Amino acid sequence: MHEHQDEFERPVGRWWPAVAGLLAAVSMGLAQAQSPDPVSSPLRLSGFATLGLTHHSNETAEPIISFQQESPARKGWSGRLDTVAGLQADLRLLESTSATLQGVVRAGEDFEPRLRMAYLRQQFGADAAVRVGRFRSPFYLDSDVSEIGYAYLMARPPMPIYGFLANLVPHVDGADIQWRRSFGSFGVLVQGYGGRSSSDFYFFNTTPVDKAEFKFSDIYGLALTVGFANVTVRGSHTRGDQFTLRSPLLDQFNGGLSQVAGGLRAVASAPLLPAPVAAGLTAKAAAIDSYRNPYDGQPSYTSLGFDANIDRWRLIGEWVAFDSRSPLVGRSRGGQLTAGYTWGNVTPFVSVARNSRRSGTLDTGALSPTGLDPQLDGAIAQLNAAFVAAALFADRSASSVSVGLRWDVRENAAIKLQFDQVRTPSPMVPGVMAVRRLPIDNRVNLFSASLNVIF
Amino acid sequence: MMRRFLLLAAVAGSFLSPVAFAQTTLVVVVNRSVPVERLDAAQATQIFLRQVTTWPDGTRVQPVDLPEGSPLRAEFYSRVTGRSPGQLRAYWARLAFTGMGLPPREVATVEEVRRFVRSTPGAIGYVDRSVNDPELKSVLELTR
Repeated sequence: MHEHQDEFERPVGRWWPAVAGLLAAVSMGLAQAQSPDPVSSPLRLSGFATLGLTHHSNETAEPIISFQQESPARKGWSGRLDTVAGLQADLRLLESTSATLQGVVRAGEDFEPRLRMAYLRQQFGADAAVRVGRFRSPFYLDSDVSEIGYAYLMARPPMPIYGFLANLVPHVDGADIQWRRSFGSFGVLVQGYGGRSSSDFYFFNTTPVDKAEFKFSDIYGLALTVGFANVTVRGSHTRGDQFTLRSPLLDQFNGGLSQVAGGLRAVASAPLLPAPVAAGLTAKAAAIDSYRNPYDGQPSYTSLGFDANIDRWRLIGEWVAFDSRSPLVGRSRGGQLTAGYTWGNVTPFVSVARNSRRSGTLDTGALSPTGLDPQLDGAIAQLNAAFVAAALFADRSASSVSVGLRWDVRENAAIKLQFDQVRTPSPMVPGVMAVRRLPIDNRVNLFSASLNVIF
Repeated sequence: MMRRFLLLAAVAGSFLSPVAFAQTTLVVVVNRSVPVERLDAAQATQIFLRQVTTWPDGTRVQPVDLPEGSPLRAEFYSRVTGRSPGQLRAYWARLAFTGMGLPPREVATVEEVRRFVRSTPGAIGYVDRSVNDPELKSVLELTR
């Protein structure tokens, strides 16, 4: 079981090399505005870094980028939400063959190095390319760039739709094929991809915080991007045949379900019990068995979005749909709309986003008391209470209103200031935040300031 | 006094009515083998943003850029794509750090652009109007 430490208790020795590396990355970015010719050099080293500070005053709900983030942004000032650094090496092996490696450290993940990209790329003619290995997941419009702060307008992609669904699967291990074609006034990019992914998932509502591992296998999807001169339109659909979530706590939960189901079957086998009652208990036992691993499913992600540069205006919009095919997590719909206007090097913007769970109430009718065995009924009541709590914490509905500005201070550096108000529908809905217990103060006023560089 | 007034009026006029002083400053040029006679700004944008990667005959488009910091490059992107250097960097960062594309090849000088476009099938670049090379095909002229 993961032991969750307070930020001030962390050993200094674990932090300083990563922090020093991050500062060095930012310094490199500020010092090196020019990059070598990316096409003619066989080896290209590049990187990105964001030094981000946030402030909020909510003690009951702490912002996170995703449920992989071990350390949320605590009340007060924190560098954990947005601070990230990445290094990338692209090596051209042959005229049409290249290899790419990209590693990332995040403050919210205690600067543990993560491999985000590691693939071989083969170009076939001018139109097609295949990548084999690990690549960033292309589930939503901005999901593959969510860690590269310099590449997008806001401090981070809108949390209500990216915090839970998109950022949870940062990479895919498999292959993709890209096909480009020009059709008069527009170009088309078709990207088909498949593979699997796995990572950590933290349940913040347990003490200590429960570290689970998810495995998402047999992922396959298609993304279609149509690029006009000033507008890019993108649609994608991704499915996975199996999503599993496992942890010591979930194992205990499954064990409890098995015990209760076993108890029901034992009662049903009593010789004096009328046959209809015994059959009912057996059916109840089977239903309770089916509650095992309630987070497992076959998720699908759908995204339709656009990104437009019209004169000085920047408009970004996206609609997303998620279906976990898990009775506990359910389905959700969401969207974002962002508008910015550029004056010189400064682009103020405003953004709204919402994600709403449409279903997801698991029918726990089988967890009703039997009236035959008080001890068994007590265990059933405990499991029912655990399910009720799990269903509440699985509701990631949230909305946000954001205002801010991006200031391109240099050609490779941008400062961003942003204010977000993130809300959940009620104090009993945790949304996309780290919540230890319900109810919460369901409104977080989050101020962010960040320096974003590439080099 | 009248001279000063006329001078001020002329300077002001040069800002208020640029058409009267119009002159070509930038020319987009392609290799003579490219089967295109004219491009508009939108098409040039798509080519230099690498949204369009082939010419109508299937030849690979090979755009060439001047280095960042070059006034000609800044003017080209500002006037053709409407994007600032920072916006362009962000655009290429998005593609480069996701493995979805790299910016065009860069060369150091206009003279190198001229040589590259002249010698490379499918090549396209932008040069100052003063570059007068009959081996290059002009497909778009931008006037100040």
